[in-house]
Amino acid sequence: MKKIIKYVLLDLLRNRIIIAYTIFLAVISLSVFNLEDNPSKGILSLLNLVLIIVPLVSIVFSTIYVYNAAEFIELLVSQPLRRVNIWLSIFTGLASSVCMAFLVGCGIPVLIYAPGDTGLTMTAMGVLLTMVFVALPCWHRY
Amino acid sequence: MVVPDSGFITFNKRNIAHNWQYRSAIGYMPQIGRYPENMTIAQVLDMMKDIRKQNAVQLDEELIHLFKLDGMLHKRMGTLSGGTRQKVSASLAFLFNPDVLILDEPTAGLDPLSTEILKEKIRKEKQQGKLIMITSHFLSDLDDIITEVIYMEEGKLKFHKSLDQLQLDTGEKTLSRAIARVMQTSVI
Repeated sequence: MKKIIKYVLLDLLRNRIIIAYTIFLAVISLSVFNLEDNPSKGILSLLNLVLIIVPLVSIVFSTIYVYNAAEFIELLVSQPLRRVNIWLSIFTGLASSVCMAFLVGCGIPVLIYAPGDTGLTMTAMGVLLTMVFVALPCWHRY
Repeated sequence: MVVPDSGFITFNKRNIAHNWQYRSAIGYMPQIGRYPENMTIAQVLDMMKDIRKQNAVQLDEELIHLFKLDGMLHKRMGTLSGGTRQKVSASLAFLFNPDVLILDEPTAGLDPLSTEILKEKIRKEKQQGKLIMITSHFLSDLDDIITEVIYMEEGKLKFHKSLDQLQLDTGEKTLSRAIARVMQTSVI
């Protein structure tokens, strides 16, 4: 199982959309914090944006990825592997790469500009949202 | 990806439902080989070797060499042509020396030279007593490598007989003409 996760991650970390998503999030968070004097206000604006963008990108990206990987998953199913393990590793690979993009793009600016409980809560919320919305297409196909 | 609604399949006299270990005795070559785009050929091969790590089994890398894949191991799967991807799929199916090989349209998209290499390989494995199932539309490719014919139409089995018997029944020499005769008369 670890092996499939490793190769799914290797594939995804070089994915253009993941890289673009990271840069997009970083630009948004940096500009939001630099436009406001008060970091609390900044984090509120960021929260509003994250609440919309994160679920949208997570669900669309993972749906497209899972559908494009249909033939590859078929090949994995023909190998001596358990079905549950195949899907769990695809989910883990997808979720960790999208979470990583979120943490780099949003988590780091938040930690720099608004460290503390609120910032941490927002980062954790973003990660959980990502996992839930990546899980949806995986679960649907499984 | 599909679990059957009814019926069952037995492999080595055992029902395969809820069993997955049996797949280590099968090599499968899909009709459409699509792999994660950013993976290189070497990574795909390594991943399969990782998944099916069996110490006892000797890896059969003959096809990788014959198809000259070792020269382009660093290429990404997304940049390969259909034929090259087909070669990767074929090499993967034969890599682990499985007892049973299931090849789904193996010659589709392959150039004539590679088709001959693959046919030669199939013939060789057949002589070692392996069970090889081929589905194909190119019947002329199959003439000299098969022994039995299973003909299905719209999901229903029409007949299952040896090639010699089929030739005898239809009076035709080549497989494609024999099948054409069967489809024309549709009485057998």
